[in-house]
Parts: sequence; C-alpha cells; structure tokens
Amino acid sequence: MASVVRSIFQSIKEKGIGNFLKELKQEGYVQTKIHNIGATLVGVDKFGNKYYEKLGDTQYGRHRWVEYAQKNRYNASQVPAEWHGWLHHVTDHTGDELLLLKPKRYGLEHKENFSGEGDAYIYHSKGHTLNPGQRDWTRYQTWQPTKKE
Amino acid sequence: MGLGLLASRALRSSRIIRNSTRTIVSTPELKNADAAAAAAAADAPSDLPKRNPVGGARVHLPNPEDVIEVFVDGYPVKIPKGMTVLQACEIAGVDIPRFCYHSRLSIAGNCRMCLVEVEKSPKPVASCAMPALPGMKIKTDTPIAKKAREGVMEFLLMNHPLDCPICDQGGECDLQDQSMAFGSDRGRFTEMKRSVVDKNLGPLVKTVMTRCIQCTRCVRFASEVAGVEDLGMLGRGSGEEIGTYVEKLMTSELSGNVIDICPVGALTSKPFAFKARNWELKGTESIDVTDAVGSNIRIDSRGPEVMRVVPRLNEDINEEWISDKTRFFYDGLKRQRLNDPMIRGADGRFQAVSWRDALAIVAEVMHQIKPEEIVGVAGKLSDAESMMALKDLLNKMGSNNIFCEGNGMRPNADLRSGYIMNTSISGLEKADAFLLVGTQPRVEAAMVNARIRKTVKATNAKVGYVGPATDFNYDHEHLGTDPQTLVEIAKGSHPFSSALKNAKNPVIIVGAGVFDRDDKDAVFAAVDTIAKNNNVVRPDWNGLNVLLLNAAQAAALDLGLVPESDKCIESAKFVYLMGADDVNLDKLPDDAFVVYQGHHGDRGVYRANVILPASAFTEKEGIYENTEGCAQITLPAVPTVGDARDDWKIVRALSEVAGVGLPYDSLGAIRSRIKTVAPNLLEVDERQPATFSTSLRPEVSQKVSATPFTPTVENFYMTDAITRASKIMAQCSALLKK
Repeated sequence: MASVVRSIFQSIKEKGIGNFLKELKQEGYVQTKIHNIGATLVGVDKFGNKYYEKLGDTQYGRHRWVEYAQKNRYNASQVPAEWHGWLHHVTDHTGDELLLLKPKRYGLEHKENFSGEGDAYIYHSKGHTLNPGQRDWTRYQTWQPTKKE
Repeated sequence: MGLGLLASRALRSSRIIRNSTRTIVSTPELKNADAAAAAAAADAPSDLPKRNPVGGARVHLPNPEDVIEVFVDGYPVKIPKGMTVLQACEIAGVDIPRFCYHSRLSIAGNCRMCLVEVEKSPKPVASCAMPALPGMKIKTDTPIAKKAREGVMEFLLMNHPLDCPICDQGGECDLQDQSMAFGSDRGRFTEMKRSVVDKNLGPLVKTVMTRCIQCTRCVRFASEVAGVEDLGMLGRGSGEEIGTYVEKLMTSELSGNVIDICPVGALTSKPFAFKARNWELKGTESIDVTDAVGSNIRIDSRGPEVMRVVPRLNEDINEEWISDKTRFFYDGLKRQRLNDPMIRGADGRFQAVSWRDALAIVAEVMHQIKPEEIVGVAGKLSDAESMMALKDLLNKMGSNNIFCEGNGMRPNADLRSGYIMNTSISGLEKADAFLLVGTQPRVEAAMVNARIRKTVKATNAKVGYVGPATDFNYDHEHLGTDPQTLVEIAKGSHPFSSALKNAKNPVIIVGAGVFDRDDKDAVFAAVDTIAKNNNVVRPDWNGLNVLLLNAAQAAALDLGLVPESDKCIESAKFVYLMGADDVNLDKLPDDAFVVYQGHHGDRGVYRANVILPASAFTEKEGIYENTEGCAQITLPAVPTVGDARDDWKIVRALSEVAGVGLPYDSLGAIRSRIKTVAPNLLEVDERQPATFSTSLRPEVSQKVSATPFTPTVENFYMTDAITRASKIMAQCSALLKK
C-alpha cells in the first residue's frame, strides 16, 4: 500500500496534479484500480486484459471481473474465447488452462467486434471491388512480356 | 426382410393377379393395338393437308422411269427407285425416330427405333433398311407403329443409366428427346442395369460407355469417313460393347465428329466436360480460320467466353464434319492474349501504354523512313478488310511492299485460277484420278482430305502422290519425292501418266508449299503441261487445283498483296506485321522497327518494338475467302479482350495519326473499297470460279530443281498463333509425337 502511495506522489511530481487527475480518469483508476484492491489476479490474456477474482466479502456472481487492457475503448468482445467461460462462471478453469485445449490446426485468432469502427465488417458481394476475395471475372489470360533472351 | 419390402411384394403380386398381361402402355386404345388399327382403317383419310419434306429437302428425280409412288399415311409421294422407306417418309414430311441411321453413313438397322407399319407386312419393318417398293402403303402413326416404338424405347432404356442430370449430352440428347416423344411414361424394369468399362480414346473424346446404346454410328464413322479402323464392336448380346479391342487412342484428325454423331452421351467432348449446359450457350454462325477450307462452324459462347465449336452444315465445303483442330482449338483464344498497346523501352522490356502514345510513335517512325523500306506482312488469320486497309495505308505512305505469309515472295496473283481450287471441294467427288503434288491434304486441309477419301471409296479413283512420304488414309501410289517426277509424268514416260490419261475427270492438286520453292514457276509449268496433255482443263471440267494452307491467302492474292521486290525483308527498316508469326525475320536488319498487330503473344511479338492488340476472328466481323474461292463472313461471338480493337480500325486510326487518312470509316465503306479491287469477295457464301484458265500463263524457261518437296505442315494441331496457344492442341501434338 505504501508503494502505491509513493508512486502516486511521484506521478504528481512528474505530471502535475491536473494531468494526474485526467490520467486517473482516463485510465479508469477510480473505478477499477480501487475496486481491484484486495482481489487476486487470476490471469492475463495475450491482449493484456487482467482477470480478477475476489472471494469472501463480494456478492456471489460479482466476484469475477476483467480489467480491460484498453481503458478508453473497451467492450465485452475483447475477452477471448478461452477466458469467456471463466469470466461468466461457466467453468472454474482459467483461460490459461483452457488455452491448452485450443486446436492448433484450425483454431482462429480471437478478433474483437469492430462494429462501428474503421475495421467494421461490411458485407461485399463476390464481385465487389472492396471484397478482398473478389472473384476474377477475366476469362482470358494475358500474354506476359518477358525480356528477349 | 423389411416391412416395406414385404408390403411392396404383396402389392406387386396382387397387381399381377389383377392384370394378367402387364402393360406399360398408358393410352387405353394402344393396349389392344390390332383392334385399334382395324378401327382406324375404317375411316379413310378424306382430305390430306399439304406436307413439306423434313428439313426443306428437295427430291431430285433424274430419270422419270425410275420414279415410284408410295403412300405415307395415305399421302402419295413420288420418289426415285432405291430409296428406303425412311427416306420416303422424310420426303412426305414425316420424321421417323432413329438412332443408328445416319444419312452420311452406311445403314446398320440395329437400333430398331425406326419401325413403321407397312400394309400386308406381317410385322413392323425397320424403315431405314427397307427399300421402298412401288405402291407401298406405309403407316407411321398407327397404334402398331407407336407400340413398336414404345417397346424399342423400353429395351433401349433398360440398360441406359439414369444420369441425365450429370450428362453432358443433356438437353441435346436424341435418346432424351425421343423417350419424351415416343417412350412410355412408366417403366417395368426392376433388375440391375449393366455397366461397361470406359475406354480411353485420347484427350478429345470422353467416353461413358455405360450410356452407349450400341447404335454403331461411331464405328461406322471411324471406318467410313475418318478412315481409321480403330473402333469396333466387341461381344454379343448384353455383353456387346464398343471398344478399341486393345487400349488404343483414336488417331484421326476427324475424331471429334463422333461426339456429334453419338445420339446419347456415351461419346462427349473431353475439354467441354462439365463446363456448360447447351441451353445456356449463345450460338454464333461463323467460319473457321485455322486452315484454308473455311469450314462452317457455330461458335457456342457463354458471356465473354467461347465454350465450344461445333460444325454447321455446308454441303459444298465441310458437309457436317469439322477437323479436330477446328473443334478444339478454342481454348487458345483465352490464353496468351494481347490486351494493351505496348512499347519496348530502352531496356528491352515492354511497357503498356495508351493507344494514343502507341499510334503516335508508330506514325512518327513511319514518316522518318524511306517509303521503299516500309514492308507490311499480313498474317495467316487476317481478314480481307484489314488486308485492304493495310495495303491502302502502305500505298499511301509510298510503299508497295506488302505480302501475306504463306504466299511466298513472288506470288502470282495475276491469274485467279492459278491459286484457287478450281474444281471446288464438292466437285472433287466427280473425279476419278488424283495427282497430289507436294501436298499432304490430311494435315493441310483435313476436310478436303475427307472429300478425296469419300471419292476414292466411292469411285475407286486412283491417287498418285508426289512429295515426301506421308500418311494417307486411302489407297495411293507414291510416285516420287521431287519435281523431276512431274517432268516424267508430263512427258508421259511415267507409269502413272496412263492412269491420268484414261481418267474421265482427272484432278491435279498442287500444295501451297510449292509457293515457297525457288523453282515454283517451273513446277507450275510442269503441272500445266500435265494438265494440257491429260485434258485436265476442259470447258466442262477444271481439274487443276491449288490447295492453300491459310485462311488469308486467297483473299490476299485477290486483293493483290504482292511485294514489289522479293528482297524487301532484307532491306526493310520498318515492318508492319499484321498477325504474321511465321514470316522469316532472320534476315531483317537489326535496326529495323517492327510493329506487331495481333491478338496473341506468339513468335511475332518477340521481335516487335510496338505491340498493337487486335481482336481474334471470334470477336470481329470479317470476310475470309477459302481455298476454293468462296468468300464467307465471320461474326463476332464474344467481346474483344482488354483494349484490343478490330484490325482494320487500328490501321484506319494509324492512318489518321500519320496524316494519310484512309477514306473509309465503317465496314460498309471498306467493303465498297474492296468491291473496286476484288468484287468476288463480297459475293458471300457463293463460290466465284476463276474466269481465265491457267493456260494463259507466260512461258517459263526455269528448270525444275532436284530438291525434294518438303512437308509444309509439321504439326497438324499447331499451325497458327491461336492453336499454338491452345493447351488441348498441345496435348494432342504431344500424343502425335509419341
């Protein structure tokens, strides 16, 4: 606890009180960091999301939570599949344990839902120019100029 | 035993009890055919509507006393003696269903589909094999005939697989159509169907022999028309099958035609397998340009793609066959295409540029060069319009050095009879002796060879051949390999001269390969002497022919594409290759500027400085004259690729950029220009015979050399830019070399 207080004072000294408060708000310290006090860190996934558990004085059903790696733009789809079960009380196995069961050959990388963002998935038909797998409608093969000899 | 099976057995047995005779006839009156026939005979036909022969055929009655009259369904029809019942029915306008009968093949009579009722005959007769007799009363739609067809159809379908949905013949299948029209609406067949092992007939013909109905059309085609005894019938009864006996490929240049004559899906096109259905194809009636015969074809396309090529009936040229090269080269149209104008940069690499830049450069270079150093070469696939435009452009630039490849450097374009087939292709059938000089018709013009073979088979005509040893599919006499033999025949000292002398209609065919020989005038003089001594050219018969190699040759000579000097390539500084890939450019100076206008990246482009992409013959309208002097028109079947343009339009645009605008802007205008030069080219689909005979040729003092004739076509399957780009043709020629 003392180290926490010391590091707070150091940050205030470096950034000034205004910046420190702004950062606190952005980083979500007020809500999560304080909430985390006394909880056990069960694991961290590869995106940097931290999974906490606090047994004892918390209401049952609210004793597991996630601290998202991105503090300003987060949503539930950032939780990868292996941690989803643990977080939603489907299983008591942590994500790190479940990761071992992930199929190597066809297991896809987890991708968050980008709806409304730049990478948002928009359906483009096979012939659409923006479809990355756009079908090639050229029915002939061109001659490729090669250098003579 | 399952409950369902038990139930069905019980049901079936009860049905048998109910009807002691199991019948598949759904129409009640057919169940008792004899009684119904008697009833039908009672009401005699009162007034008969006028009937027209099937397919608009006209019957030719040469000899009035040989005419007999028969009655088809009570309708009297006059036919010449010797016609079959089926032919009589066709003239009466009744189309008899048939599988094994084919008008161009011998009669087999083994499918039994053409059964008709003939009065006073105890049972239905197979009309295809039965000669019509005077006063015969033929009935084609009586209950007995209908029942006979239904029965035959049931037998045929017994061992025919039910795979129409995956069959390539689906939609154009005779069995499918006729089972709809004449078959029953139910089957009684519950046993196992037989299956037959597929045969490997090479890269062109796909076989699914289980579908075969043993009509033996393919066997008869192979032995009678193609002249290869490859196919045959093996086994007896239900074990009967078509095969090659030992595993053997079909080595014929006409093998693709078995696909068309097969009434079911047993023989289908291998390259076309599972590519398209026939009802989604658009047919365009066009002309083949891969050889000088100009076979009539239908180009079947789907969207921007040519899917297949099938023959079109033309009795004068290709009958209803086409060669394998014509049928299967179409995949070459999709490969190695030039689609952008390109300029060779300083580093020797081609770069795609716009039309404006490309034409500007060509026009600029053309103006910097002395007129006599400009040479134009028309390719073997050029149409008459583009050759006319190119000639006009070069003449306006002051040059007269333009020729068509294959015609040699000293072509004789003065006498039209000196370079066309004066007998005409169908006229060859009247001949009774052939002298082939330096030509291998089997590879040069497969359809002409088929015609010669037909004649040889029908009239036992003698064939003498002068040239390198080659493959013939009919009896022939190899007289010699060099022109000296011709001199001997001309003198009358050769044993073959008597055969020519005794012939009523002798035919001499000179190959176009002779055009490239140094002693060509002497060879032609020797041929002329033979013709004169043997009465080959008479007012009623002209048997002196030249068999050309390429589609463009005849039109080029008609338009006067003759170079001013035969050394023009050696001194050229600017060469305009219009699709010319086979012209020898070894002697061309290194600093010469070469423009290649064409549709394929073939031999010609490697020397080119500028490439102008043009359209292939499937993408444009153009006049081609075939070897017998018949002008025909190709029609665009598919759109042009990329930035390519029609040949004549490119030349026209270039003339504008070069400041020597040609006076025509449309096909109609360019054709009226052609009309002033060679009006015969506008008489489309009408053979224009040559007016003057070759006897007007000037005397030559040249002596024939002892150099033997050389084969002109090394590889039948690959002769031009399109066929060289084709994968199927490459497969075929790989097999050929084996």
